[in-house]
Amino acid sequence: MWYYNNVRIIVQDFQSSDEQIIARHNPIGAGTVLHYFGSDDQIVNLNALVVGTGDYETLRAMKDDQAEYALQSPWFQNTNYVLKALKFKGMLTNCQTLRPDLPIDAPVFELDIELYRDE
Amino acid sequence: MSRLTASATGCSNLISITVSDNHDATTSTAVIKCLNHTVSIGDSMIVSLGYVGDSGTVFKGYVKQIEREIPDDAYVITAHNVLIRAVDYFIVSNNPENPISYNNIKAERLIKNLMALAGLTNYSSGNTYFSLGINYPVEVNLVSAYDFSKMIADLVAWGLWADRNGTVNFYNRKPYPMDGLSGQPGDVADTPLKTVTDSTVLSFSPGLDEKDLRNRVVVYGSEGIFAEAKQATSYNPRTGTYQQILPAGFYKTAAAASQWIDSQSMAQNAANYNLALYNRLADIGNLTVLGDHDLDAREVITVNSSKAGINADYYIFYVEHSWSSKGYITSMQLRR
Repeated sequence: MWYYNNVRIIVQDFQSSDEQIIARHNPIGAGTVLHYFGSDDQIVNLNALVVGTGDYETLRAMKDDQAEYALQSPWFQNTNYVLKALKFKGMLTNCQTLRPDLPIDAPVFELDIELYRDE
Repeated sequence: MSRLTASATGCSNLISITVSDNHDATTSTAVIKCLNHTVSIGDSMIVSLGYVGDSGTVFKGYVKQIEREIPDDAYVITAHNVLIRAVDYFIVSNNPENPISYNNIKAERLIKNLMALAGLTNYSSGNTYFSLGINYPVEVNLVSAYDFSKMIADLVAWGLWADRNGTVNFYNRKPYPMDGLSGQPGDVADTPLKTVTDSTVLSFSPGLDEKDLRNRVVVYGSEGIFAEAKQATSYNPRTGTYQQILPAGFYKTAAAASQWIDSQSMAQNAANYNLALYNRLADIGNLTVLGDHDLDAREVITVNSSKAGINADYYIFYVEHSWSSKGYITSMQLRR
């Protein structure tokens, strides 16, 4: 199961990117010349479902504090990430069964979340 | 692939560095953007740029401004080279009736003394054979050490600058490759620093310009002393000959006036030297190459570009080293 700062998120899509910062130059009399400047820390993009307004508000409260929180997953060791961006979309539901611990009429949100790793 | 490297005294997590210098500029300037620093205003600043295994010092000077940028939470540090000390050193005598004065002193010696007043003792100069204070003492008061020295340098059409190692230089440095044939003191033929070829050239735009051409120079000295030098034809660096460039009988005039010119021969020399300096077309080329820390203002390079059809020596009039995540490039304005 996936958690971000102990908030349960039902992950549907996972993307991770790491990047070297490389400038490309093209001299008029030669091929491409590459200048390596450094590396960009990992960026994780998740598409997930969140159930209940409590978790919705908990996640939203993290957008201003610049703190790092643990992303727990069955795939990787726990790693801390900074919350870069959150995008919620309310879903049309009559009865949710994703979280049996919550009322069946709890709202369900689709969440796009971007996390930065600060290495 | 080349791995970039850079260092700036007391700065870490560097984001970008720009170092620029210009033949006409009072000082070179370094602008450093970083996330952390330990420097204060007035601290020494040394900047080194290049690639891992091939880097070098491109700037030595003093921190003049520290600015914090929000929301980036970055610092922008501006430094000027050591000659800024001479700019900031304003000479004011305690007694206006008794200013600093010099008699029968060579120009290079006078400038050396003024630089020393500002604490700049790393000084190197040529021999101008140009003496001041022969008939009247040269009095220096209510002027900066740099301004007075620059006025002297302009009279003899020489250059006054601080190099990237922190040495103040006063030499016959014309803004074009010198051939050593002018007969003027200090005219030594230039040896090109290196050859730039198309394999490193990112862009090149050569052209001719007559904006700075002056074919008549008038110099006013102390009472009753004046001199004129003029020539109908002007030097074209593309052909290496003097040609009728301005309309016949039309003169663009430059004037210089200084109470410290107190002999007719001195005035005539000043007029002749400045006519030789200004009476020429400027063959100007804006050249951008892959970053090269060796390239510096006031050096001469050979540009051998088959794309441009040019193989000639050029003087680096302006240079800018730009180092950032966009790579390391060196932009120059070349002249000949």
